[in-house]
Amino acid sequence: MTPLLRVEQVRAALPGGRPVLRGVDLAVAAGEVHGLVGESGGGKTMLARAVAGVLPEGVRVTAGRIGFAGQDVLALPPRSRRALLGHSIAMILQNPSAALNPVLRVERQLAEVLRAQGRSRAEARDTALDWLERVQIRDPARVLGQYPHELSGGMCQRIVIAMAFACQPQLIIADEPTTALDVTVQLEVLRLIRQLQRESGVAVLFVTHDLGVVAKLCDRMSVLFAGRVLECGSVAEVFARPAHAYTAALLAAMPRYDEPERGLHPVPTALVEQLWADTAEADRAAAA
Amino acid sequence: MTASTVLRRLLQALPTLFGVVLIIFVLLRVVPGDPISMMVTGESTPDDIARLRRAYGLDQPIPMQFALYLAALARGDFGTSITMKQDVLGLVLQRLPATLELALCAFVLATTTGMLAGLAAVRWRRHWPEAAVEGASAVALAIPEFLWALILVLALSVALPLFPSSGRVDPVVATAFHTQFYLLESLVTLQPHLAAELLSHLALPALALAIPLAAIIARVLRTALLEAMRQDYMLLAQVKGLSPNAALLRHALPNALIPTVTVAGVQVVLLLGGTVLVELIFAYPGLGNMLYRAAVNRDLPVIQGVTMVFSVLFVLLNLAVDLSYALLDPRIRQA
Repeated sequence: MTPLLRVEQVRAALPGGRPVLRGVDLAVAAGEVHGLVGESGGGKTMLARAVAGVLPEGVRVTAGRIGFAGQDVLALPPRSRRALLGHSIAMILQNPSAALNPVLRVERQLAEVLRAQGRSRAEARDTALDWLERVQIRDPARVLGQYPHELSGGMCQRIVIAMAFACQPQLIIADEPTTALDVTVQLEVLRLIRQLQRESGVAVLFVTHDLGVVAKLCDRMSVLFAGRVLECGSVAEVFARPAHAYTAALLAAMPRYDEPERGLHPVPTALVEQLWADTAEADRAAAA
Repeated sequence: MTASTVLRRLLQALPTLFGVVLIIFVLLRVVPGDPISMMVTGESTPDDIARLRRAYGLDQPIPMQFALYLAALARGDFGTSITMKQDVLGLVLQRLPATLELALCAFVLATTTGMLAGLAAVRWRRHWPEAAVEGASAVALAIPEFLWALILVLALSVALPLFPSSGRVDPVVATAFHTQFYLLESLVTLQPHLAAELLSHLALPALALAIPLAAIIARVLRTALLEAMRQDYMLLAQVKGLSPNAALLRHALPNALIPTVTVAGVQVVLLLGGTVLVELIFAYPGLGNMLYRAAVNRDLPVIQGVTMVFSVLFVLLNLAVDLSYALLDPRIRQA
């Protein structure tokens, strides 16, 4: 069976030519929740944005293929590629307060998604109310008329989540959706995403640096380092038998609240340095 | 912002206006030049001069003159013009509509072209429209409005006789109006030929005033739009599948208008000041022109009256700018 999303040997570079993705392979099946983990600067967000086709200005995909629902999206003209967004692919961003437009009411921002699906104004309002209830917002009618600065970060993120699911997409890319939230709110938001995902059966590419979140939420996972996937497999498998030394070190570095006497075990510097040295070697080989 | 806030702002403006009156009054009396010496001929005797000084109250000490002036102002009496022998308030109100129409035309011209240019520069970023807007606005800003006035006269009135170079309206048709708001009246009474005639006279002075303002608006809007484009909500707008045009107009523009109004608001006040020289160059019968003549003739009551009206306009404009913030930014509206 062909996966919903298949990323093959994708390379991307910053404006100066510095590589950020160095031949990434990734496959996400329909309905699967796929965790994408790795340290900061490893290319997680770049990969997520490459898949959605919304890379920052100047960053280019230089090689590889991104297949989505049987189409080669990199070969699509910009208009068709844009047509995927809001219909087949949706995104949840890291900072919910910044993701909502400060000068527009919640209703307008939520309705924008619904109107794009051809709903009338009145239908869009009803559906928007319905979605706010589904993301467990109290007093949804009042919230619709409010501006983002009147809402808490958790509420803003619920609204962004509502927008993503309201598109009824096949794939949702969640880029660290809980990182900017309070710990207590994080858990609620994760449960909400999991619940909505189960109800809709949408595939989720969940970008995070928190392995605890991966363990709770994901079916499969990929470990990204320096723009390459080091390891990929089911969450249970990878947690039980990590194949790569870096994955093992990441797992060992997870703080355990149930065993406080164990202490903290950061990823060994020597290992990270060795991996970066290998990366530099590979870059030189690729350039030659 | 509620009605009570507006009222409070208007009351707060009263001390400002008092300050303006005081400064203008004192300045006019300490600078050299005396209205009486402009009036008398060689045959006047010292007695004649003394009589004239008494007649205009200029023989009193300055604090006394000021007190009398304030008392008259409170009664709505702005004094009598020394050179024109007419009531100052009447003179000012007769000229004000011409200046307001000129300033409004310049404002509309500047905001529309400035906004379109700013939007075009961002929409076609890194292509020729951005370079064209950057270049044109740099040139537009480097040249002050009175020089633009002269350039426009040379180019569009002398070299290419497209527009009249002076006046407000052809004297033949001027008798047709019942109010001083010629343009407004011609539009309201549906007389397009009159409106066209008025606009042809307004074109060059309005353009001279509008060019630098349009350039500032284009530049500020462009910077503000680029700033907005970097925000997460623009990424989300993209992810929602909005076209670049829709994202720019619906999401970036409402945010970018806030800093643009801040900067442009100050500039609009300066535009009003710019009318003085531009009206003079185009022999446009507005307040600025009258102020210039009054200054040359040391017609103190007229100078005081016109500056007073300009000050009131500044206060009202600043209030309008503050009100428009509240309209544009919900965070301010609820603060």
